Amino acid sequence: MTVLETLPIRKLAAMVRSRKISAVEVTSYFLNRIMAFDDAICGFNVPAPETAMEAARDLDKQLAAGGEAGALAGIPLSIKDIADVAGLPSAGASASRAGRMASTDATVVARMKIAGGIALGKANCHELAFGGPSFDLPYPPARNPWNRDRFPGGSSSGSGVTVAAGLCLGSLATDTAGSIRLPATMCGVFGLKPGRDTLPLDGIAILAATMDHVGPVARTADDTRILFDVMAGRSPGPPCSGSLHGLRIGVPSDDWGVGPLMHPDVQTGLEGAIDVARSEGAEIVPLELPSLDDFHAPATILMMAEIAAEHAASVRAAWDKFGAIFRARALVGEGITAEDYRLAERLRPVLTRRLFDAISSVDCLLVAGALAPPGPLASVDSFYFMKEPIPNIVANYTGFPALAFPAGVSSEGMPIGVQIMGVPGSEHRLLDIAENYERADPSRFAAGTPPDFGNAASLAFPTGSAPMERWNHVKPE
Amino acid sequence: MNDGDKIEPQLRAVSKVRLPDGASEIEIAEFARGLAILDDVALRARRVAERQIQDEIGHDCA
Repeated sequence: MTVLETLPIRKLAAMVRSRKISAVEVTSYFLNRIMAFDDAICGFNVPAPETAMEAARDLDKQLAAGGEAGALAGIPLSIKDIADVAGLPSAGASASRAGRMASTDATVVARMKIAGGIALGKANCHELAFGGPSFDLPYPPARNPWNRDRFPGGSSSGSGVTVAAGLCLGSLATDTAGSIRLPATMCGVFGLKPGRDTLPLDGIAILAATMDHVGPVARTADDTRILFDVMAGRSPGPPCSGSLHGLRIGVPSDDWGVGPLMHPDVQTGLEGAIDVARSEGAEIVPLELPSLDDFHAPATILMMAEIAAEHAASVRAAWDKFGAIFRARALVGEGITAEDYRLAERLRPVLTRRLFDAISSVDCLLVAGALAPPGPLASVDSFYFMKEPIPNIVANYTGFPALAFPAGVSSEGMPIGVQIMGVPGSEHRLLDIAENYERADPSRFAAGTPPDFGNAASLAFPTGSAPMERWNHVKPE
Repeated sequence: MNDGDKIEPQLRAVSKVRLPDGASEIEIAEFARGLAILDDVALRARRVAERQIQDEIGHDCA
């Protein structure tokens, strides 16, 4: 059978619509891959084989009767466990919400289904999109398919690993301080955090009310574009046909002050992205920006205060139902004073305007996707995101769109990524730029396939274990 | 004794008050570490505000 996990969404959906392959065949193919591989990476914590097969059968019947299907016809998806999918558990990987079933779809999920997308299940994540990677939750933490002892990024860890391992072609993820872009970077795929208020958040658990965003993770820039457009409720536009030639790509004039914190392999990846752009005819424009700490400090205060407001009472009421990392992170923000919160809030439009002024003369701002390659899963610092300024949170504080994409591998073979930020409304421009990078040098800027996640048909169960207990009752067709 | 050594017992005391009885000693120590980091972040945010306040939000904050 044709390898499906590396097919572009546009092509596979067209094959389903034209009935060259059935949605049931596609769904069954990916369920088989999940059975073969997911035990190794814990990407799904709530598989939904029955509802997925039912949706696939319905789609095939609809097409057989002469009906039409949308841009995601038959496309297999994972949905982060904090977003509601009707009829499925929606616990956010937390024992505190065990047994909670969603009765309706989040709006973005509904739009993906209407377009023909097939939800294969709920993707693993850090507890309520914040507490992790944790080993004391109902589900073990997701593991990086490029090295299962390494951190896959978070909090949308399951979204990153299910797409990177080819267990689905797209995922719905969320991002409050980098939670779409970090797993995309660390798993070597694409992740778009759209601008604030671009996509609806109803049906998605709140983490920090004014910092939360929802967006797609996918294998290619065009796949990401299609998912984003569908999530926005519109028909996807055509793929990009341009190039990097003539673009103005901004870079912080002094590495945004994070040069000493940046791993040499990340520095190499970033410089590679600059060199390719220049060689393709783009202009690299050094930009004087407010310091990264100017954004990071107030953004962190705002986020931690909002998280405490949202979750601290629940943690106190059901202490044993939360993981230790979530408990610590959720409560620590209670100590933030009203004065500090208000300052962080007042600084927000000021710094947003300054960033807008600085980057409005360029097509995008290019920075690292993460400052270091993925480290050991078991030794991630609970407060890493507060200790040192990281670029990701800038896009949540300002509400500007940002897109992470691959930029090579580290000396240890782990994915390295970059991210590009733009002014509000520039999502498609960012996607075009990433697609141009992908085309300019696929060996560095396109998603690869992790070595142990090839053809499921030829590998009975590569982890050496029996298929997941939770899948035993289901036999894909 | 440096400043950090003086502050740590204070943060541990604060942590014991803030956390419920079920919190372990390890968790109290980790929480105290988080408080120390967040205190530093708050200080940095105040410095940012001081720098910005002159020309951007001075009147608004007066």
